[in-house]
Amino acid sequence: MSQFQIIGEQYKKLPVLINSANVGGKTYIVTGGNTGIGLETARHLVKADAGLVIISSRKVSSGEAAKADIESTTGRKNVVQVWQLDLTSFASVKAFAAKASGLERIDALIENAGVMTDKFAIVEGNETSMTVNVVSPFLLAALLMPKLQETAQQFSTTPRIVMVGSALALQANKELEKGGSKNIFANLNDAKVADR
Amino acid sequence: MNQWLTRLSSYPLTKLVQLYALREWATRYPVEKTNVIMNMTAPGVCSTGLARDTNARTRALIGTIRFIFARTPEEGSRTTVHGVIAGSDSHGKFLSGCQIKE
Repeated sequence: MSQFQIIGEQYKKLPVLINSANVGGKTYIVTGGNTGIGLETARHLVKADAGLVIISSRKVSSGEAAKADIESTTGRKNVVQVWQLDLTSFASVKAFAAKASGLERIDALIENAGVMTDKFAIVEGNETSMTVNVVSPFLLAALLMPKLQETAQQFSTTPRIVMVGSALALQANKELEKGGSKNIFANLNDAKVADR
Repeated sequence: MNQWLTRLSSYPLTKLVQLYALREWATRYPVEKTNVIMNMTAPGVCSTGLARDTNARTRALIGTIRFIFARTPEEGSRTTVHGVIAGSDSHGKFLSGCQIKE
């Protein structure tokens, strides 16, 4: 997509494609469901009669505030659950996955949580945004694959893993040029290259 | 136009790696084998708290761009909701504006 296509699309009226018939009674996980797009995605799911919507949040208190907001705007109580998850910690990802594996079913894992930061730091062996936006989400996806496959078999459905990406992925040429495209991880982990 | 994009720190790069990982995942784990679809949705420019951890100059730039043509988080979330119901043909694909793009 070119920058012009991206901008042009901004003015398009988008449809809401879920309803009681396609999400009713099903179970969803929305990471970063306490704010922004995650919160609104969770609200759409609750509105469309989802059976259980788990929203993850770094801070449980902000997740609880989001839950109260969804309940008051949709009028549906006890559908949303708030689970703690911090993508800067693999231990947190593993604990979350272990808990989620105990659910009856998972119809979609929506990996929305992400970070945009210009403070350089290494967490779990990589630059913070690489850990939070890429490594941890794929770790979580891998750990939940058995449960998703089990759901597919038991309920004859096709569960989804939805990665929330960005059109900026297609505009990363300049960033790539900084350190070359051969070893993106190593370059980003070098503060001098990352800050250039 | 390209200038402001370079000031968003490492974010675009991580999103590119995420897209590469999606492609690789889809090749290794086809829907026929797993019955699980993985896709990627792009919400467009939305007025959310995403850039809250960046410096004042970046925030000012993003604020201006958002002022001109941002979607609300609710409008942006419609693209995410699309990913939830998109079919097998969305496996490993980049979705934008509620359509399968590339």
